[in-house]
Amino acid sequence: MASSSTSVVVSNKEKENKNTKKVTLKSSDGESFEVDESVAMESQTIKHIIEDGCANNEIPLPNVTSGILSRVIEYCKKHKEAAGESEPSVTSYTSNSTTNPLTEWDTEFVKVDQNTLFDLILAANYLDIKGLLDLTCKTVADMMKGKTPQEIRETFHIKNDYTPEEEAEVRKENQWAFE
Amino acid sequence: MMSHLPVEIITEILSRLPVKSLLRFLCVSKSWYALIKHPDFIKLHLHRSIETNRDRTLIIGKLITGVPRYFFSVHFPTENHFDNAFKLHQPLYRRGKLVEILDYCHGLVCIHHWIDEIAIWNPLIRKYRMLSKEPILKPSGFTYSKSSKIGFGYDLCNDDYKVLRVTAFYNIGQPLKEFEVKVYSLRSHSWRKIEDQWPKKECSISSNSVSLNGALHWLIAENTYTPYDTDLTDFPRGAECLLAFDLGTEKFRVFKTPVQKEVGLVTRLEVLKGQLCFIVSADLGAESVWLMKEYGEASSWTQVYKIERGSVPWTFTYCKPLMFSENEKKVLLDMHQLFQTKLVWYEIEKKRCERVKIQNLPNWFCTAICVGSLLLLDGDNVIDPAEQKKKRKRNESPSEVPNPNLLGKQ
Repeated sequence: MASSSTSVVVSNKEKENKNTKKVTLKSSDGESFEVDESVAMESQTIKHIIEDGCANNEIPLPNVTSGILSRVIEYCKKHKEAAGESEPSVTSYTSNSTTNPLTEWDTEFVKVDQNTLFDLILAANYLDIKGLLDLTCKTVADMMKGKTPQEIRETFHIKNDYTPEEEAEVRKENQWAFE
Repeated sequence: MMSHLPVEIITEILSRLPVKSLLRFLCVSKSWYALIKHPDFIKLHLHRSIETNRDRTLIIGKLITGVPRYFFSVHFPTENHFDNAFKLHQPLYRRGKLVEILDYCHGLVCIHHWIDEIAIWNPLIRKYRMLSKEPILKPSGFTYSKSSKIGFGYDLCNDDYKVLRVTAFYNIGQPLKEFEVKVYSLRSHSWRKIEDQWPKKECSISSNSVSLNGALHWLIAENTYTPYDTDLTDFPRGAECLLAFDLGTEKFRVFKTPVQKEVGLVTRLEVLKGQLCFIVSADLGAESVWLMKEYGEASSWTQVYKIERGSVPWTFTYCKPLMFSENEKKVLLDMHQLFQTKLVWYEIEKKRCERVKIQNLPNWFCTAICVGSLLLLDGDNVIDPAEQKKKRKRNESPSEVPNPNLLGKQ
């Protein structure tokens, strides 16, 4: 009797340890974030570092500031939770994106200023987090859809290296798209 | 800020835009122009379009004995939402000529007027390429030729889009034929003769063509002569099988069909859910539909649904399945009747129909499905003569407000 209850206690503790294995991420400005390993592994970059056994105590992320890193961690946590809860069969029936439980949360998540949005894109790219890269790139793309070339240049500070004659020629190639 | 983003990020963002935006953004800067026109980008963008059904549009060709000037486009972002039909000018516009849709893939639609005028067209970006005319060379020893059959498809191996033209030559009363097979490559803008021999010279093409897995497919059947056949218009009615032509290896293969055709039945090929689809239609509204689950394995033909007479409130000659619904319980049918076409969702298990009502659609039409694609971005512009007329009128009339159409003109 006594031995069986001991073994039950031990296995529970083992489970707890497995569930809460943590890893520390260090931002470029020196701030440390402790997160569940499973959450951190939403990033393929971090996943490879851990699997290669190079994790040690802290993983330095010199390309990501603390402000951005905390947001990225928030994204990964939320998406990891959701992945654990939803049944695959349910998600495959959602042709309408508003029935996807995370769509609303994602929409709110990307309601940030343009600089933050671009920083999130760079972080998602560096950390190789496909879902976040998709979401942020799509957000920027949606912002761009109806705009004219001049509006795009202004919004994104791109230099126009066409002469007016050259630009007119390019416009003529697909004139109908401007109407 | 965006200029500080690495080019792979700009590529990621641009690849998520619909085609019309990208056509405008060619003007943003020279580097954006080069990026958007690059074949690797065009491929990435197409891949994204296919994944997400971006810019998904039905292309409707009006079938009419008369003057089919226009096609129509119907944007349908989701299964339940079909926009109104908009007039779309097509590149083979000529008075009084019937233009038909041959086949389509990757946002390209191959259209033709009989066989001599063939064009590959990207309707969503309004560009096209006209195929050069290619003579038919009749081999000695044969008197007659049947009208050529053509197929259009994607060559996976060479990343090329090709048109295949098959012409059968025959002598009256003789079962054997000779075949000339020529292929046109969009990359090289030229025709070439195919060397591989037609595998069954007693059979000729008896169906439309479909493209899948880098190969073109037709049903071919033996010619059986009855007292009612006139040799010049013989319709192959004998034993049937499926012919595949691999656009990469340029070799023919023959497969078995799931059922043998009986008198009075019509058989057709389609592509559904990325698989070869074989359809047997009886008169006036009954069909059984088969899919080749494993490409190349005749044993994998599986009947996926049947439309029985009476389960549909209309009689029809033939239903072309366009796509399954996401949950695969319904299939979208292009239902052909006499001089009429209907678009219908058919619920497979419940055997129920729901008509798709779209505004401004012609009565009788054929369909193609396109997604957003920049293929043929360097093609010729499809010009609408009515628009040209309007522009000329605008340029001629003086006005105080600067006319944007005159900007940049010499």
